[in-house]
Amino acid sequence: MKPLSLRLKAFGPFATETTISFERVFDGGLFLIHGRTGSGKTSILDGLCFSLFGSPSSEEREKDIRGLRSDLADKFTMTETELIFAIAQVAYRVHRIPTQAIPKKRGEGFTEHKGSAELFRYAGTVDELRRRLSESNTELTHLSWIPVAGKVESVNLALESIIGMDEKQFRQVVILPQGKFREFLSSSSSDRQLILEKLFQTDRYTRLQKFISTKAQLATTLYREKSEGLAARLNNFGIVNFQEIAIKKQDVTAQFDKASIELHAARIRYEALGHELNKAKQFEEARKRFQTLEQKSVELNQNANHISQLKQRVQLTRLWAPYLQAEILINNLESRRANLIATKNNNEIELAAIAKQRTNDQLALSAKLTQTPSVDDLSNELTRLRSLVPILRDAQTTATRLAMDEKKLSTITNDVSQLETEISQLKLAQVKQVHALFSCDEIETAHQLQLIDRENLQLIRLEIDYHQTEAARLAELLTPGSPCPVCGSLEHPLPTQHKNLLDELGFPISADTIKAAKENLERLRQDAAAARAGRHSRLEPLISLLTPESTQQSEMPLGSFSDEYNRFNVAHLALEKKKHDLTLRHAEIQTRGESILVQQKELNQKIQSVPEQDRDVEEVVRRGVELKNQYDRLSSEIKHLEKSATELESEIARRRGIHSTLVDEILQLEIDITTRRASQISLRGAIELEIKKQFPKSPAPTDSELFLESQLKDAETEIEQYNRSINENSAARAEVETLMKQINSSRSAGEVMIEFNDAAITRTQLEQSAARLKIDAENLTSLEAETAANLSVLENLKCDAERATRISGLMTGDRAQNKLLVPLSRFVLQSRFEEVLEQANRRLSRMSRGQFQLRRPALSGNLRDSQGLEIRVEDANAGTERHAGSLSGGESFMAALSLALGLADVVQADLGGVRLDSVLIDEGFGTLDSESLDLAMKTLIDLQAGGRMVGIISHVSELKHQVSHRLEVSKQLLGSRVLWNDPVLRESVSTRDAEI
Amino acid sequence: MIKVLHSSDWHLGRSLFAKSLLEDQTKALLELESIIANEKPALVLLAGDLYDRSIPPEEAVRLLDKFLSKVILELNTPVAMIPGNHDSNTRIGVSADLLRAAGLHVFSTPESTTCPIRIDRDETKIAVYGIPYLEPNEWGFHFGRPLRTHNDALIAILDSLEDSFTKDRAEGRRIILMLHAYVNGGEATESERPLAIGGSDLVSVELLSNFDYVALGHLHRSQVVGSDRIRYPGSLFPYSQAEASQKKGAMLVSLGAVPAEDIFQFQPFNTTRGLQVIRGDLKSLSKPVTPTDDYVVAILTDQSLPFEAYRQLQQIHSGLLHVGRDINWSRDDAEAADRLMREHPERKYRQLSDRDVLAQFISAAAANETSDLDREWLVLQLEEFEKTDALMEPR
Repeated sequence: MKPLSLRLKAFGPFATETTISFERVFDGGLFLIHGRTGSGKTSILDGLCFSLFGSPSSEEREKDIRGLRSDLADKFTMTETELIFAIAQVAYRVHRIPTQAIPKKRGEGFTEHKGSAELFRYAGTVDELRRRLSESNTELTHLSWIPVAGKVESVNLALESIIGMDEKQFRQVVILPQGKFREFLSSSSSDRQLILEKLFQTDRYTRLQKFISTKAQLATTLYREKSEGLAARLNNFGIVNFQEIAIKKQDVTAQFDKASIELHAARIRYEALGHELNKAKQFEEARKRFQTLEQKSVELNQNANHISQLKQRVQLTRLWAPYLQAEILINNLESRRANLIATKNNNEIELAAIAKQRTNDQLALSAKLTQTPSVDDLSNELTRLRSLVPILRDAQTTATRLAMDEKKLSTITNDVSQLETEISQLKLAQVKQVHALFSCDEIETAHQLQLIDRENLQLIRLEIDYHQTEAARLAELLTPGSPCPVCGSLEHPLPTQHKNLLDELGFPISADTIKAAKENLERLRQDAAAARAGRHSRLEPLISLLTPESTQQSEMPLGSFSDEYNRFNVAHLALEKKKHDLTLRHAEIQTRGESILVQQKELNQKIQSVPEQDRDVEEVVRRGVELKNQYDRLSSEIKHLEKSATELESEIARRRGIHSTLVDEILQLEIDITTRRASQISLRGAIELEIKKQFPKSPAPTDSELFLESQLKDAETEIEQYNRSINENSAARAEVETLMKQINSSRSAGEVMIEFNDAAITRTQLEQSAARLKIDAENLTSLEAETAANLSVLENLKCDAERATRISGLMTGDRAQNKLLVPLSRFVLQSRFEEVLEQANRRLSRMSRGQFQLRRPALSGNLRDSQGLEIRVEDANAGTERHAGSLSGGESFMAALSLALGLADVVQADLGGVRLDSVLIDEGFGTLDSESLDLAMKTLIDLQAGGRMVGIISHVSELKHQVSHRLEVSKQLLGSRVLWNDPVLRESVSTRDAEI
Repeated sequence: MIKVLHSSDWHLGRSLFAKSLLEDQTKALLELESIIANEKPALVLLAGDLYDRSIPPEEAVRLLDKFLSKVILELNTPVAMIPGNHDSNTRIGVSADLLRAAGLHVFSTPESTTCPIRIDRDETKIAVYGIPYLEPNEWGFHFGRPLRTHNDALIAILDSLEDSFTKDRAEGRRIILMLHAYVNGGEATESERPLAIGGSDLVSVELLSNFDYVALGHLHRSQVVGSDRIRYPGSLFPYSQAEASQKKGAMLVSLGAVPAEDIFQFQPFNTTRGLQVIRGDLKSLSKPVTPTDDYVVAILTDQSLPFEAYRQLQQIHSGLLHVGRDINWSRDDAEAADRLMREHPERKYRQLSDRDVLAQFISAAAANETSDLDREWLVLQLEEFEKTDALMEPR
């Protein structure tokens, strides 16, 4: 069995669906299932075992299969497992769902889901399946699977036969579970025998052994039966050997003849006696019968008196019958009358009650009708109030509107006063502005004059400079000693400053310059005059606005005239606008005031029409509602009372009718009763007369002497029966007397009987002895022939039986035949076991470097008890044999591992029924020191090199370094995860040393 | 001339037949220290498997620590090392960057291969490249492509370093490669742990032919593979019976400016204990011998198990570690049987017919002579049994 792929869902720590492919180690390979304690390593084996056998990997874990269900799984997810595995070139798929409790979809509680299982065989080869599985898009169920079994029991059976092992053996040979696979090493010899027998199928030899021993028994029994049968037959004839048969036969024939004569005489006598005996018996019987009849007759006579009394009572009863019947009838009528009277009385009482209720009702009704305020008053008031409501509502609306209008009016009045204030302020500002304008005009005029003066001064300076420059120029021409060109003086001092002057000016002053300056000045003067004229033309109309009180200057700095004028214009426009607004507002006040007056008048009119106390509309409505309720209540009460009065009247009428009927009926009954009484009295007289006539002696009978109806019939029957018995008895007596006269026997039956019995015995004895003698003679004749034939057959049977017994003894280990004292099955088992040990020793010897060897102990004397399957461990160091239980943890791990592997070797190689091409070892490596670990690993490496799949489950991190195929199981928050350490996954590197 | 000392496979913390070898390992390391003190190499190379387990015992850690302090701090000799398959990269490589300044160069990550140690002295210039032992798939992850075998991984590593080699060669450097691997042609003993299971763990020796020296680790026998320049120095101590009588020591390599000047010397340990395997029956092994402090493994050839062999032999051999028995099974036997099964699944290892089984049984167990008639009868019964039993058998 080699797993190809295992899928677990909601199983153990695997909450979600987890699929593990064994593809990469399928062709032989050592792999490690690695993970922290509790991550779910062993659960993978559980999954495998559960898939194959419906139970987990060890018995401890088996306790509750329901425990396999993942606690972490979604509660509606069903736990299931699916395993694909190969046996040689055939692949199988087994899918199981264990029995589990799933919460009900609706409501509380759980539904027990019954477990199921299915097993399929793949139609193609294993290699083909592996190819298909390695394609990524293969849908498992789309492959061609041939159903093998579909029920849990049949799947289990099929798998056990396919795998060749039951689950217990599988756990000792293929899956070596945590701490458990040492069991084979340490289990008792008989446990070991069970496992070996199953694995090596030595039950076949047990069966053969049984078959042969049955054969031997059969042969022995056959011989014994035959030989005993023959001897018994001879013995029957008192014969020991064959020769005596003839003599015996003659003797028997003579005896037979004699017996035949005697028998004839005995038969005649027997018949005669039989006839006589018959007669005697008949006579005795008749006499006995006659006596009985006599007895009966006496008894009947004793009863005669009782019967005549009975007859008398019957007669009396019949006479009294009509009277009694009349009595019963009258009684019935009287009781009926009493009933009617009771009914009548009741009726009267009820009638009185109803009449009283009617009177009460009438009183109540008249009270209601006279009650104040009367219904009509209420109704009138209600109508009046209803008419008031719309008027009041209208008045309310008008008042609201009026209030709004007045509010609006006061707002507008406010606006007006504000506007007036603003206008007076604006006017004040305007005056100020005009003053400012005049000031501006003065300032600007002054400024321009100043400018003109400055230009004028400049011009004068230029002219002076010009002249000076001109003079200097002339002075340059002046040379000492020569006359000055201007003044002609020879003594003229040298002007020295002209050069500096030129430098200052930077340019020569010419006559043109002077002329230009003069023109400029003239333009300035003209511009100023024009500007002033412009300003004055604007100021002219404003003069009227100037007031003497407001001549004070604004403290604000003044802008240019034109700026100030613009400002004035803007302010002026604003003022004009305000004035306009004010006019509009005044008009509006006028209009609104008039409207308000009209509305007030209207309102007053409306209110005047309503009485003073009813002017609150809410109050009026409330009162209206109240009145309405009161009115409704009162009128419904009156209606109710009226209706009730009518009903009561009709009830009274009805009851009165009943009353008169009852009175009539009672009267009628009383008349009837009286009539009947009278006739009954006359009947009594007649009856008493008749009795006197019939029974003159006896007094009148009491009632107790009369029969009831039922008794009467019994008495009549009794009388009739008595008469019949008397008649029958006398007839029978006459008949018997006649019979006795006819028979008339002389001897008693007893006497005859004794003689007859004697004769019968004699006859029977003679008959038997004759028959026996006849059979003897016949038997002796056939015996003679038969014995002669049987003697040779018997000899052969004896020979066969001896051989079969001998060989069967050998097979079953009988001391006389078998020098080993070992039966065949155990011999085969032991030789297989020897081989297992031999194979185990190959590995153990390597692992222990020659120190340990496993041995089967030499056969001891007590062979019946010993199975010959004990294991002893030879320890070369100690030089002794040790019991397997005395090995240390590491040593026993090595020994157990070797043994398990050896067992697998032999099972696979030898009988071929079972293929053990995978081994899964769960833990145990932790018990090894590093040296032994290396050696154990080497053993496993050798193993996988032979094509086996070898899986190790361990958390020992040293192994992680040694095994490159690792199935990493990691525990996560929502269930464990399984991953092969893929070369390109970072995890494989980073987790390398993650664990101690 | 630059000298380097090359050692590997210390397996500190290892035991032999459950006997702790710490004391012997300490002694061997002391010898190494004295060789370093005498020869004054420029660098000490430790080619992996320094510890026996990835999580070494404290004593082993202490021992390595003491050795490194002594060599680097007192003898002023820098040390370069790589993790082997027994070591944990992470644990060996802890604080590697910090320690480099102190003179301890640990190549523990794939990245570290690109940082060789370069030493220039006189005429000679060397570059030492260390390649840590990692599983092929870890190298595959580093290079971003699947690498299945150690050989593939080595090809990829050397490929990635080719430019660096060329540059060093152009500068006239001699190149030393330090590697923990099973080089094809090397001879294994029993104490190496296989590097790969179910695949090849060998790397081709041709890949290593272009280096001036390849300092190998992994195989426990001191040996040369292919050429003088590719060497295993062997383990620190004989760790298996197969290594009995092997001399243990370290390689002293002197590289000159040109290959012709190079000298390779094996420096044996002289004071450490040896391992002897003695074989024979108890009687012959019980004869007195010259006392020695070597460890002894006795293999008994007696047919039956001698009583208290260990006690008897220990009186003569004080270093007796283990008594085993001479068992003929070898790894090859079991493997051959398995292979036969795998290759010919239809062929049964040993299939006996019922008649054969019965014949065996009779000859083994019969107390009396069996006649031909007896056997004929038995055969008849067997045939009948087989006919009826076939119906019952589920097989």
